[in-house]
Amino acid sequence: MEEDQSILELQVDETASKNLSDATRWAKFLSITAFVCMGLVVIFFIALRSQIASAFSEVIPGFSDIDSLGMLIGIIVIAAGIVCLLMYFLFRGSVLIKKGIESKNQDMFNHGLASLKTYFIMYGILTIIGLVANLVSIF
Amino acid sequence: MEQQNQNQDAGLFGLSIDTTGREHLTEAARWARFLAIVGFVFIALFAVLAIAGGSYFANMFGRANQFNEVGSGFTTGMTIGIIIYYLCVALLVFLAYLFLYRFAVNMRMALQGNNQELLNRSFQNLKILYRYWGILTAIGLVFFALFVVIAVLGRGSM
Repeated sequence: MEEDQSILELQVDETASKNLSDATRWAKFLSITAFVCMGLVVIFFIALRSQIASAFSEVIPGFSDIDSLGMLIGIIVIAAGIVCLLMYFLFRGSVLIKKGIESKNQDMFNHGLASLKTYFIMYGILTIIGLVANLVSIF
Repeated sequence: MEQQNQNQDAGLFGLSIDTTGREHLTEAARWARFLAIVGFVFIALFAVLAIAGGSYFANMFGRANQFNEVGSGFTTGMTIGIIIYYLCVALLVFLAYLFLYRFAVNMRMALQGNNQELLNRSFQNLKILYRYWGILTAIGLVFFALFVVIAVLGRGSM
């Protein structure tokens, strides 16, 4: 009975495997690039904090105090952390799907799909938060 | 005959989209579809703003150039240039959301109808989506590297 069910199930055939392997390769590249970029952004903000504070103080009076600067760096670090978490799910998904395909490990493949799902859910929730924030700022 | 048996074995003992995988992919496709639709709406708004912004810039340049020789030719050219640039950006992003939408829709239909061909098409669109973003990212990185090199060389020659 189980065997019958497995015949009727959708298969990850050669075409699907090839497409998924290619997709995971590019997804891995994108996630690693995002990790590096976020790291560089945080380092850049921390290294050039005094220049950034003086540039902002010209636009916003009283910005140069340590609290405002700390808050700005905090916001940047949190934003970078959120992007890194999002990209971690994409990275984890791509690695597990690829390993699952290579070793024909169903469990690993499913874990990869779960990470891909989490990536899309998190991306969607962040989009909803962004939409709500924009609407609030308009009204 | 032997090869046919081998293929059947590969199908039986290879990877499949089982109940767990099906649940994950259904959920992923649902969110991907939502993201793509939101993306389409934003791109449409962006394109409208690009055209409206272009006419705003046309007015601005027109007022700035009304007393000099540069004239309306420059103003029109500048406006068209700005509109085309922003519409190209909108088109580039639209293509990415189109691949995401196709992934989501094909996946949904494949899982509902147990259709292997649609499943393969869905994964193909996922591949194209990530390849597309990957190539755009690589191009962006090259431009950024060039910018850094030019900035360093420019600073060195000063």
